[in-house]
Amino acid sequence: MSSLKDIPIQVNHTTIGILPLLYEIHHALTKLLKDHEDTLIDLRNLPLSSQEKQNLLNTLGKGEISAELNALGRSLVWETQFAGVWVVEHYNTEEVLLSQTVEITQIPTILKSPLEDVQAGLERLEEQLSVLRLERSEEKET
Amino acid sequence: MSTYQTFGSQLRNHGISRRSFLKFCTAMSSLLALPPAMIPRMVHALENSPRQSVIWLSFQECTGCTESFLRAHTSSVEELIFDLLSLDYHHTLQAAAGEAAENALAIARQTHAGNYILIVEGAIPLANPGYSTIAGTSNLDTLTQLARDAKAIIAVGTCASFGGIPHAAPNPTGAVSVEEIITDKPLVNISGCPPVPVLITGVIVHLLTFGQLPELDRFKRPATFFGSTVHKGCYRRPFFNDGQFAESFDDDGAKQGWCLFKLGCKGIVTNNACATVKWNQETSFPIQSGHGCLGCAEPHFWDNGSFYQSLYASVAKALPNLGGGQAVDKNGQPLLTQTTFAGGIAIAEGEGNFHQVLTVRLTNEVNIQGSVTVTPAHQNQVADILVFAAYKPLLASLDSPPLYFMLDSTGNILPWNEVPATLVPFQQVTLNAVTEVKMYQGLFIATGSLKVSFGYRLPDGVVVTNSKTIDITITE
Amino acid sequence: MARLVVDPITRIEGHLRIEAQMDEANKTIQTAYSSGTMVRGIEIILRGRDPRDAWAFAQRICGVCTLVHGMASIRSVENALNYPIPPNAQLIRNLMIAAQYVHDHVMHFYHLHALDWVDVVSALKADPKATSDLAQSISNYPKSSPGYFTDMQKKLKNFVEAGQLGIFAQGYWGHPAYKLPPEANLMAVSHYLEALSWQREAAKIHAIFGGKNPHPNFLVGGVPCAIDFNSDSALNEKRFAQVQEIINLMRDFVDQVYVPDTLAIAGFYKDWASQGEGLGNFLTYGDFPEKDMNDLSSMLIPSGVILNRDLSTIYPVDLNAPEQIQEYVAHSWYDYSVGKDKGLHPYTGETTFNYTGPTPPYKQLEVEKEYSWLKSPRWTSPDGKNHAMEVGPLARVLMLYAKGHAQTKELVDMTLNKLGVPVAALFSTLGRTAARTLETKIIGDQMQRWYDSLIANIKAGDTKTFNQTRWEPSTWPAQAKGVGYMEAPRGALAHWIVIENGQIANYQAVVPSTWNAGPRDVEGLPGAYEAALQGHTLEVPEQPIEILRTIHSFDPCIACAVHLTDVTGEEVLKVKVC
Repeated sequence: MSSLKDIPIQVNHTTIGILPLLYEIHHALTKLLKDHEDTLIDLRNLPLSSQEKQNLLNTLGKGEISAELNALGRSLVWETQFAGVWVVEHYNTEEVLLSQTVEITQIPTILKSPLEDVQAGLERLEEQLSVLRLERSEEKET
Repeated sequence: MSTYQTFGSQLRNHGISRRSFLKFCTAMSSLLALPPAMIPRMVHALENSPRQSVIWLSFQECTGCTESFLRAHTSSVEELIFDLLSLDYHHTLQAAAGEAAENALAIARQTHAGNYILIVEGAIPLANPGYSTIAGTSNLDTLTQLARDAKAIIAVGTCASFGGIPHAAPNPTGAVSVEEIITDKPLVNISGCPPVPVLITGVIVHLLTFGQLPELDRFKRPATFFGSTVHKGCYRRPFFNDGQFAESFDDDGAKQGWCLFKLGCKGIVTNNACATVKWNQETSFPIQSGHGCLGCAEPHFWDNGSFYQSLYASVAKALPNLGGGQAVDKNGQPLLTQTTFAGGIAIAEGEGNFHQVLTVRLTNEVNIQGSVTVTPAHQNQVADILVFAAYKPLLASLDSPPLYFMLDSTGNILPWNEVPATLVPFQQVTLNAVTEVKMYQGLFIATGSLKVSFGYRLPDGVVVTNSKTIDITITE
Repeated sequence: MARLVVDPITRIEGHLRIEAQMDEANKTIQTAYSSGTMVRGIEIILRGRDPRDAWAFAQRICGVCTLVHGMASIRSVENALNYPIPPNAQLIRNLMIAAQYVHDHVMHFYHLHALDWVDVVSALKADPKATSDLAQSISNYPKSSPGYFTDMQKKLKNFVEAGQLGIFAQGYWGHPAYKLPPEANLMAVSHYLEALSWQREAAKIHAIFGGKNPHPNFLVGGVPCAIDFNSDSALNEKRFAQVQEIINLMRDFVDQVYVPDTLAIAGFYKDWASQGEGLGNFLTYGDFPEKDMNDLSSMLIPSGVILNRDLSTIYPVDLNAPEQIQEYVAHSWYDYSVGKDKGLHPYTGETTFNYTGPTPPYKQLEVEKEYSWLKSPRWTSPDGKNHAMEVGPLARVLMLYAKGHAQTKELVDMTLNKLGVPVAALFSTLGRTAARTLETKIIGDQMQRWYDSLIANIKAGDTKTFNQTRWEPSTWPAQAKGVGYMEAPRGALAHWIVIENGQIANYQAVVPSTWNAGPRDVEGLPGAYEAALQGHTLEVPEQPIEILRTIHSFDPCIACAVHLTDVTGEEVLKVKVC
């Protein structure tokens, strides 16, 4: 025997490796197809080393779609090479990463336009329209 | 008086988009380590709650905790907390003074009876009511009166949580913590001198989402934030594991960012989130800027010894006695020796005591040290320090022979054929009357049992080692 | 004559109580009493400890003016042990002290003082376009468009109408003493909010050099942060670039917002240029050494004493001379072994509690006896007379002006000119407030010089930040004593330490607010607050904004709570709490 590496003993550290996570994503995709149910996995609170997080993201890769949000800081959303598997990263205005999640869904909630914002937008558009109408009628008068 | 708006409508009126609010809830949920399924619940709870009334009391304090809270939360996601809270009484910030201030307090207390959060900064002196008063009333009276109608009490800072600096020996004013006075209300301690500010936000958000305080540790601190040591999260830990320590504040090691353990860092025994959450929008934290952790989130850290005395120094005296040594000459023939040995293994996260026999887990950071009291005849000779061990897997039978390994000078583990002459040097030193041998610091990489030996080999080939070994069992 | 009580005094650090005898007919204060109502005994707690640890304890004397006590403590130990520090450490300390000044003064103006002069509710009536015009006429600060002020006003409106005013509840909005037009109020409130964001950035200099803010870390013998441009984990180019950015940010805000706002607001309150300063005596210890603490001539802030507002004579200050600085306890809740009528120099100072005040809950203090947890420091002039002193921005600006400092002279003359007031106007609440603004600019501008010197040293190959020759107690004499002094934002600060056999045998701190807020001494000489309040007329005694204006101009850092009862000592309002 030449070194410790030759000893046939399994070593198990504090970190879990990405395999269990990939299985969980597999399970979630099945659930999405069968029950139309979404799943959220919070990467921040898993015992992954930063290397493993990177491995996971590399394995998931990038797909056809990506989006950048500007809401009190940047947010990045992209679909991975597996349709229905998205990664969502939220940053604050200091570029501090606030959260990093994998979402198994047809569309992440953050991308959908919330009806409250739609309502607020509608009100703003009405204001603009009334200003324009006023200007128009003033023009006509002159 | 208009009816109070909800947080949700408040945000809309401020032009904060719902997406931003969702971002806030996601970030908070992540911070609190909640299962992501809780996010919709948080969204619903927060957007429908009226602004939370907060009454903030200041007793024997320095106002550092308030200042810390103001440093947090950049003009982005986290700042929404200031929209969520209605700070109805706070000496440092409020416009009103005197009677008007006390009016504001009375109105808030009445209107939100049973529903306001009471935040307390500072300790309370019991030795004499005159040691600290507000409006002619002792702090003790103010606290007990205001606690009565509070929904929950948050003690911010080490002074309110544990007594803090007023409590430090000899505690001239009889200062005590909030929980020594109020025992019948939900209470959480967010310790730290000052506390990491986002932890205060997290606790309040949890309270509003679930109607109760988060899970607490034995010191009533939120377990999510105080469940891990500064050491565990510290980016300098690999240097600790490799035994690379700064010996002085601007030596080469310090410049390379080596571990500050020898310069007094108390990170190993301090539970706080600083190493991961950091300070001032992740700008830095004490260790990153070159100074060891003071341990400021722990009870009575002011009285735990000098900030510059390393924890090692205080435990080094306690190495278990391993008895007399055994010696052989260069041909393997036994000799008598007066050299004696001490040594043991300690777990970094434990109380730090060394043991001659110990069971540890693969997840434990261990420290194996020895010390040799060298017989005068051998002192001042240049010798090879030797470290070796007998190893057996956990499930091995009792009569199966162990495998032997030795450590070389770069810390590699090599197999050994049990012939003393072939032991490679671990170190080369000049033997002092008491010679320390720091054998190993870090994690074990496999389960099994180890019997550790160490000693020295003189230029004439005489090898002296401990007869009683350090016996370690390593489990999952 | 009626007794006025104001407790809690808010928007300060600490717990302060003001009582005053007021002439009911003309509502004018005849005599004022200033009381610190909280004590912890940190001087006692320090005894027996390792002097190298002392800074950490001392720093917790105050978290608003964080850093200052840590600095004074470190300097006292270095002075006692004759322990020099590397030039880089001196420059880093100067940068940290200066950062504290700028941060502290800006925050004080907007978050602690402004609401005495700015009516938040009146801002709701402002015309955003006119506000924009006003803002652009006084400064080129980019956030000044009508749209910006419209947004700010909307935010404020929603806040007020939501019904939960939070910190603005029960303010004296609408008080006749508020003189600013609504546009100036809106501009000031907007800047209040900007300053709240800005201060988080400004605090980062402490985090970079000291690990965190509040309460950054220090080190006897130097500073803890190592310098190495080749290391990711020391102060490297990236870190220094960050420091430079923050210096620019700080100076820009001072030049574009703080200074113009001060001048604009001061213009409406010129009646405050003739009241609020009662002693005429000013004291500075000096600070911002270029070389070491023994070289007074190299310091940005000079040291000295001015008596009776006479700027032509500056007396030298010696912190070691036992007859110059003494603390009295005649009206304080302490005992002296040498008798309560004596004064003690801090080297032989004593801290023995003896609370003889009324048992709480109480309505009034017994001002003929002891009435404060603060002692009464006094300075003795060469002719043997005792004087109460004012310390702080006004003292410093006067000292700089008197000694002919060019930039100070320029700024002061510009300010007096703009406001159309004479030099005598400096000796007032307004003068003190303006002095705070001006010294912020003076000190902030110096940050660039110290930064440049630091970079030059490093480029020349000097990266030393710590001198370890006196670190080990085995290198110390058996007996040593020293004084560590500095100019804290609130005024002259010093710690006196006596070390015996490696431990602290005695420790006395005389903090700026002790000078300013201390009670009468054995001769009955009032302290600075007490003298400043004399003669103030209260337009609405139940809303004593005049008292707040002057007290806040000192920027108190005590634990003071001030609560106002009515002139007869009875509660003005009986608030029914069901």
